[in-house]
Amino acid sequence: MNIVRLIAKDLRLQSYFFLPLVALEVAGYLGYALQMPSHIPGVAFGLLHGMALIGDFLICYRTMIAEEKNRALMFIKTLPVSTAEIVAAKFGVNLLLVGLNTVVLLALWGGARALGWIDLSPRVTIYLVLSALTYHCLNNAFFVTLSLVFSSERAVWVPFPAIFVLMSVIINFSRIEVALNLGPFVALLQRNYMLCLGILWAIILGFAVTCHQALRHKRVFA
Amino acid sequence: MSVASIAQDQLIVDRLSVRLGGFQLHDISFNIEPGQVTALLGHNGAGKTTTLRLIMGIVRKDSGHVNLGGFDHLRDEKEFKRRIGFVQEESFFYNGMTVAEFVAFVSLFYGDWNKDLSERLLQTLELPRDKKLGQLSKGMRTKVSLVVALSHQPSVLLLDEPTSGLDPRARVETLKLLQRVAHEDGTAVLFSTHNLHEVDQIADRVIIVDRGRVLADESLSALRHRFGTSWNLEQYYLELVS
Repeated sequence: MNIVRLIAKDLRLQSYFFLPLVALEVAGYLGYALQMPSHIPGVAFGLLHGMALIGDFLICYRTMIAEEKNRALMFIKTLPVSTAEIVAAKFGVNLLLVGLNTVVLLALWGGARALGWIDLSPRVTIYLVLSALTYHCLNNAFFVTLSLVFSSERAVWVPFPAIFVLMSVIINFSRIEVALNLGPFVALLQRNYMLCLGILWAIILGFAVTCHQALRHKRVFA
Repeated sequence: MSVASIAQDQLIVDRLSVRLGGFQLHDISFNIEPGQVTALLGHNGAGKTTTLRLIMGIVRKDSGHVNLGGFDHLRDEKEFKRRIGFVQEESFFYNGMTVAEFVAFVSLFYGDWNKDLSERLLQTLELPRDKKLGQLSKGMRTKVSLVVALSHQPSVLLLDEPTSGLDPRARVETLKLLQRVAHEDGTAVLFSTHNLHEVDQIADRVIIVDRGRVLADESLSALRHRFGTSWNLEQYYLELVS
């Protein structure tokens, strides 16, 4: 129950922020979309993803960093609430808000296609919705983990080397695949997309477990 | 106004140690008795806040034990904290919440929350229910912290420099409330301070800390009796810490 209470508190505090966030993302999207060459496939939808990625970060910022600055996390720690409940509630509210944000943006995309305002791929399918939810939740969980494990001032610098490492992995993936003999595994993932998404959700769960362990061993809970 | 505790438990702090950067707290031990006001006295950086945060599990200890009514502060974290009211020195919390919303939010975590008591405390302390926490003065925020710390009728009340930054009226009101909570309701009160006058005014016992060590843990009435007419807390404190 404590997890639900903490999530409800965050949802109430963020209720004034969520609609302006979606409005900002849509306005940002339209502002850039008008300047984009429409003949490049995937650009328009990629742009929508980009705006949602910014949303993922802003949701983390509002629910984590602002609370850390107010020492509210330290206050919560003085209540009869366990560290596991604090971590679960933080991940819970972030995944809820990111999920809602992603679904709203996909609904706008699907709605615009249905009304004939845009004639671009992809179509909104259940696979697209699940994929988008997974990628954005993973992205947000990464930010949440950084802000829980490190202080927010330090956490802000971590994504830069992380992005560099991720880009290096993507660029060199074919070499890594050969070197580590990952061919059969990659083929398995290509055949079974749901397994691929399942692994990404396992990583999100791993982030939450890491946060719990890190907070339990952190010198000062803040 | 009664703030009767659910249980009359003794808080036992046993050889609590921690190293934080260049600062070390060495084997801090004391008991906090029900019905007494105990002052944790020391100058800035002596280890008062760290001691209170160690008790609450906010700072991770290197060694030692903290126990309240048979509940360990880490192993039985929730049961332990249900029996404790804690007032931090810097009370920022949720600036967007009103006083009433904040009190209602905290009440959800305590099965034994006394709604009548919290209402009476809000009235007695003249807190504006509909004002946002971010709009309150430091003194008002401390009062809000007191309301939420007392409304679940804790066995032990811990306060980190509760009168720091308060105006004279709020200071007197807060000190009177602490005395009443301990003497009339049997709550064990431990408050940190560097104000000698406050200690002399309301404390039954004083624990003096300096450079992370407990230098003295004495009943004030015993000290007054021992030193007779020559008793002077300031002199006693300065001799210990010098």
